[in-house]
Amino acid sequence: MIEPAFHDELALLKGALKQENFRFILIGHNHRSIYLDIKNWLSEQFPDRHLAEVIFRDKSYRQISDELSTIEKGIILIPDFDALFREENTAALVALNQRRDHFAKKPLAFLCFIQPSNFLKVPQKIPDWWSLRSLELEFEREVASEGFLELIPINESSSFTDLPLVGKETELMRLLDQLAVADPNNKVLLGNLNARIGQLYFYLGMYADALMYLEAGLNISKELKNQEEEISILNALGQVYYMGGDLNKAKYYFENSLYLSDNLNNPQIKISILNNIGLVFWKKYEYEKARDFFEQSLKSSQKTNYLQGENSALNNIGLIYEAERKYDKARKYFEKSLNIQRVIGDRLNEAATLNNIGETYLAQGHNDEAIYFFEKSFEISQELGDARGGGITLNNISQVYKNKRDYKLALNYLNKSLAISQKINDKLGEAVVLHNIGYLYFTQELYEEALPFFALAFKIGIQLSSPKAKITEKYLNAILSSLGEARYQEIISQIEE
Amino acid sequence: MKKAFSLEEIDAAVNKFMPVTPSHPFYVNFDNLRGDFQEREVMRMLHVHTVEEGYQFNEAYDRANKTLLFLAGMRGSGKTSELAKYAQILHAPDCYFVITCNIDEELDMDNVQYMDIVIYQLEKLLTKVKEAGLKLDDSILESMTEWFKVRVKEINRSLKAKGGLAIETGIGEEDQAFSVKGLLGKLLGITLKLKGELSGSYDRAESVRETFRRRFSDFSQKFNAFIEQTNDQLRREKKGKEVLFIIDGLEKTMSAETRRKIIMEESNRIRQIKVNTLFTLPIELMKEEPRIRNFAEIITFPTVKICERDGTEVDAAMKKFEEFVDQRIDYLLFDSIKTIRLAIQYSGGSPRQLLSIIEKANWQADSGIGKITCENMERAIEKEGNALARYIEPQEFEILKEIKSDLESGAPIGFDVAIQTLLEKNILFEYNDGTYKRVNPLLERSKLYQHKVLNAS
Repeated sequence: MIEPAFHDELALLKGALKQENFRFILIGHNHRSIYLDIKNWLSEQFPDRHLAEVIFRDKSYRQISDELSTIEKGIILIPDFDALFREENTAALVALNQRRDHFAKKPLAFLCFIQPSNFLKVPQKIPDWWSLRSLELEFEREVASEGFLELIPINESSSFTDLPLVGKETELMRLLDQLAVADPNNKVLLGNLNARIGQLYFYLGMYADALMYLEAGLNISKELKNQEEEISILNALGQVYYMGGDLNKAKYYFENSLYLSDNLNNPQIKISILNNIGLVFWKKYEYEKARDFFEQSLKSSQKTNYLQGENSALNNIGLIYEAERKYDKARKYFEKSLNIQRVIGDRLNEAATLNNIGETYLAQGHNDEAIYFFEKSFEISQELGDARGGGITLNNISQVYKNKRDYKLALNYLNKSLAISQKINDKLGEAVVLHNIGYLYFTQELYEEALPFFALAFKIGIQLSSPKAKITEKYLNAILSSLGEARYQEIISQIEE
Repeated sequence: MKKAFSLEEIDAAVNKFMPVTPSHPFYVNFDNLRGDFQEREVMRMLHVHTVEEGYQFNEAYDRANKTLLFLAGMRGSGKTSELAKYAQILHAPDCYFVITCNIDEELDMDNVQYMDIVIYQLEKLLTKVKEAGLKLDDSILESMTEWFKVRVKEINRSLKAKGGLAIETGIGEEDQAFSVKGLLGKLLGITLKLKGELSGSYDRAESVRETFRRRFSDFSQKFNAFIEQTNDQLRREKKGKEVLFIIDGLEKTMSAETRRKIIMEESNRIRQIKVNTLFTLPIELMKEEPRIRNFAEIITFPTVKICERDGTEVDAAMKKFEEFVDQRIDYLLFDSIKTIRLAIQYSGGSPRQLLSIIEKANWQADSGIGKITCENMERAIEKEGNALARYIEPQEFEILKEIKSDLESGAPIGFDVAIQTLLEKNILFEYNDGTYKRVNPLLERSKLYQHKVLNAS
């Protein structure tokens, strides 16, 4: 539906398209639904004009050129024009720029849809087309989010994180063997091994085992007054509790760790802890406090040229912008983070950031771009055996298919995501996925099917004091109104049995 | 394109990219209005002088010394029209046999390299020779054909090694058709085929390029010999004195980095091809002028100056632009001459920008009134200004403040990477010999510029 705020811009567009001449029109938009609405509007306004949609993503220059060459006249809609701005598409972009005069001879109107933040790139990337531009328009739409999407925050990685799954498991076996044969009097070695094993279990998503070994390691480090190790383990324990959804305990360990780190001349560990505390606040929706910690972490990282820390802080600041619905800005930070990850070879967090970029596109309704990034993220998670990361991405992919109304496929992905979160005992993740399954059924007005999932999600949310529980509760109330008290309670009893 | 006598006809009449030659009714001569640029300077470099009937090639000059000339100018300044003009006025029996190569139109490929341009030049030459019915000697064509046949065999060997299919040229060993027409056709066929391969897969294109690059000296000798033999035949048949290539669109091809590499690092290859050539120079390479002058001539094609540094209008330029508008659009389609002058003032001297302003004003116009009013024009100018402002990075506003201050104090405005970027984006216009730069007048109307530069000062 076209809102009144768009009328002026559309009047300009109509004026520009009245004559069947060459046009190069740039349209900035922040949601895919705008593209679809404009497409429909054009077919109403110009019923006799040929309307063609040409997608640029994942096509070579030859494919794009051949496809455009089949269209002799009409209006060409390019919903993803800025897909060409990616580095891997430079050759295609240069070639297309070169062919300006060839296309400018034809009565073709090119309507090129881009993200608003990409306007600045146009004169640089495709200067000769830009110099012939006919019109620039910008459309912005407020969009409410429906399902739960999950962003992945970043912690500094260790040498374990980029090991593939097999590598991690092999290393774990090795360390367990070493622990079994270690001299019980060699406390230093024991402490070290316990801490490393705890870390590995953490990266494998086995949090209960991680806690056991990390606590053993912590006791030894206290005994030996090994403060560095103690701080590191406290930080790691905080991460385990954070992942498990116990934010209060996580904060407790992080703050302890921060307090002790003041005595050490190790800026890197402090940067990591600041970042982690920021994450706790982020998870609790206390964005100003979160931003404060991330920015402290960023400043110190840049001062000490600590790329790992900078990488984490940038991504996590992106999370704040994402939460504030400033998707373009969020993406800018995610992209900066991604660049560093690629330089330092931080694959685990690269997967996380790719997921986050995908999420910004999804929030703006750009499903194809979202899928692209989610799939790239998932590939890496699989490779590294990062179950939690992979599970989150599967959940997010499900939301793309939900938007495309492919409910069967969406449910498929949600079930896979649920299985993972249950396996690794990620309670918060489980609640998110359960809610999303419920929402999928709710969208199809299948209230009886939706209820059990919402109910379980709500239960977990309450246990973990998650603010998301309030949203789930809304849907439960809606279902209650639809089904009536009797039927509602009947289903709830069945769940409880 | 025809003159507009109604609002509906204006759109076609203000077509921004179609170059016009002197024979076209829309053509307007901006000579002597582009600061230091003088057409006679180009003619001098091309060894051409004016005679009663037109232009004549100066036969006294040293034929061994071919001209390689780069014409540099901003986008929308009128370069392509200027080149189209040269192609028309210089193509004459007493002057040049001009061959125009529009790289951007006719080379449909990604990763264009210099070798591609040379092969394309040869193909265009052969096509023009065939069209002109030039009777080249059998032995010249046989020699060229045989040389290319061997090259194709080399390419095919390379392709076979990569597992690819051979190039089919349709020329068998048993082919005995040695007529000129036949041979020329065959040679043209080979070059067309080679050009086609350059549009194919990267591997195939590289096989072709690599074969010629390896034998570039050999190739250039063959090409140069062919050029001289063509020149001789042109004179014998009174169809021209020398071949002149006009190559337009170089600035659109490749990436900026590749263009720089070609012109700076492949300059020796460019010089090995001994034929008079006029190239358009990518504007970003103007800063390499001293180096380029080691092997070529450069001439700057500035924007038409409509306003002096002190703000006074250049009457002659304003009148020329009024003529420019009048050739395309009946003046009765404007509510007053003031409306036309308003558009010209905000064009900054760029014909393309002027056409764009009028186009947008036309979109605003009420068909009931049937004219473009001053209000339509003002609105179009404001919209264009605000649209242009979105392309300015935050740090570029600081540079614009400095430029404003320099202009007010009368100081010359130099050249660096930042200024280069602003010129490329048409945020700045350059006049005279380049020391006079001013902010695009459209931008000065934008709210953002007023807030960040004018009000901030």
